[in-house]
Amino acid sequence: VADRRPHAVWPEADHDVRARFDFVGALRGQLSRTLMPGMRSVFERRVAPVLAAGPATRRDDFRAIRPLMEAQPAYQFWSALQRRSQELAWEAAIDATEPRLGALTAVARRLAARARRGAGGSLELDPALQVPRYHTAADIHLQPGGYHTEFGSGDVAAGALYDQVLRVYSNGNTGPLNEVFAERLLDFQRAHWPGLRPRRILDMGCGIGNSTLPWARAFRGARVEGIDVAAPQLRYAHARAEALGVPAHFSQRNAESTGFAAGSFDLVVSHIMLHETSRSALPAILRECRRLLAPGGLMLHLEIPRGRDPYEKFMFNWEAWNNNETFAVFLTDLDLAALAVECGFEASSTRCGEFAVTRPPEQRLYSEAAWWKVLEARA
Amino acid sequence: VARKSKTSVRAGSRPPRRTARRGAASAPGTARGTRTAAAPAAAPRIARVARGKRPQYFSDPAIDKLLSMTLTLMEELSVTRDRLDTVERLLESRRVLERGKIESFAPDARATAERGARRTAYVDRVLRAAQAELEEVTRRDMPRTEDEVVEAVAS
Repeated sequence: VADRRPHAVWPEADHDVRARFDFVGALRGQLSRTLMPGMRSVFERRVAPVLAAGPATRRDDFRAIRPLMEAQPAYQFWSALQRRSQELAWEAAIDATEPRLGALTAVARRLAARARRGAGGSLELDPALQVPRYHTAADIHLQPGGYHTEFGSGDVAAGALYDQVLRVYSNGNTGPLNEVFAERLLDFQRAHWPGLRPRRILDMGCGIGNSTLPWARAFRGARVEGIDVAAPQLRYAHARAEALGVPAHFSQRNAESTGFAAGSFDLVVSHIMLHETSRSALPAILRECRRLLAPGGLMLHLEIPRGRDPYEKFMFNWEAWNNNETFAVFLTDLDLAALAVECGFEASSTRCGEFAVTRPPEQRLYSEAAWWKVLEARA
Repeated sequence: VARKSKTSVRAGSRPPRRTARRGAASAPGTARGTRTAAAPAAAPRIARVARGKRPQYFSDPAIDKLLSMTLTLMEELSVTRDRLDTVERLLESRRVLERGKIESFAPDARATAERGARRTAYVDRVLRAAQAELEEVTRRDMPRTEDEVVEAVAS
């Protein structure tokens, strides 16, 4: 039987669990194509008139939309289905992973043990590292146990679950190796900073390293570091990188205070990480980026857009209120570029903008348009 | 800041069901035939319920649960049709299957037992929504309100 797995630490599910993933993908595609676009009509016909009759200050406030939409039966139904589709994805991934966890952990150990003769990457865990409260208070994306919980000694479960569900969540949009985020940020870098030749690259909040490896491939010879607070994800990331033959160095560190020496990097990146932090962590992370960059070094953070009008802002925050991406609400109207300047970057070299990408209708999320947001600043 | 406790709390709140799990016998590195042996006590269990306040979508929480179950049923029917389709196509391509025989088929004792075990696991999964609410009520480390979670990121 041919191995159809993208890499050796991916837990290949049996026929029926694969069929469950197929169902969840079909369900999510269908919800995006059919029910979700109708939510704007519900808003325009049932909710907007109520807001228009109320105080002017609330008309532009996406938060004011929430209780009114949540009272609409059509929204209730779509929302409940969307939530359930996310839960079903985790349940299928858990059923694929749990019976294979011992074997997967052993594979990860073997790959890690031969790393020096393999791709040449490394893994450094810090058992004393405190997982921040913005990760332990609620399980982000509804992943049971979140990024950080260990279910067995030295296990890789949280990484394996995340890898599988990301593919289903995006309905295939993230590509066979879930590398779409780094690919889009690389597109941005090539378009805006074509001459960049970084020798030391840091990927913050790297998780399973799916966005770390494209940077190592794009800049061969550069030393690429990936940091995260979650040990099971880092173990998986390291094994995955070795299995794919891409050298990367993973270590368990908090992006707010990494422990790397000042000026250690020419390029610091993150991929959809900022909205999973907190009000105090975000400026701390930006200050740390400034400290870590060598003179002339570049910071690039990829983020999910947060909507262009009150309705879109409300819809993008569905994930905040229903999928435990709680901090996203705080980011909605935050001026990231201004915050970066407050955190030590020069206003003249700091920008936050959006760039459009094309995306088929079944992969659209909350908006007709598809685009990414990038915070960029030069040290 | 209390770090989340590991497996014991979560595992203890779940009903035992290891022997009914599909796919356990086909796990890499697992010998065939272990399905009927005693469950290995040390096999790690992954949590099934996400920490956080689950929103209530409908006026009556029972509707939320019923919708959850309906979706699981939809999923299982889709899986079953896919599997049946796989089997029928494989058999057809090998000229093994006479479709008329399906109508007159009666399962033997072993097949009946295996079907029973699979059905138990299935029902367990369909009833997940009710189980999740119980964990929200009984587990001490679960947040009680959304504000509690918001506060964690706001400070």
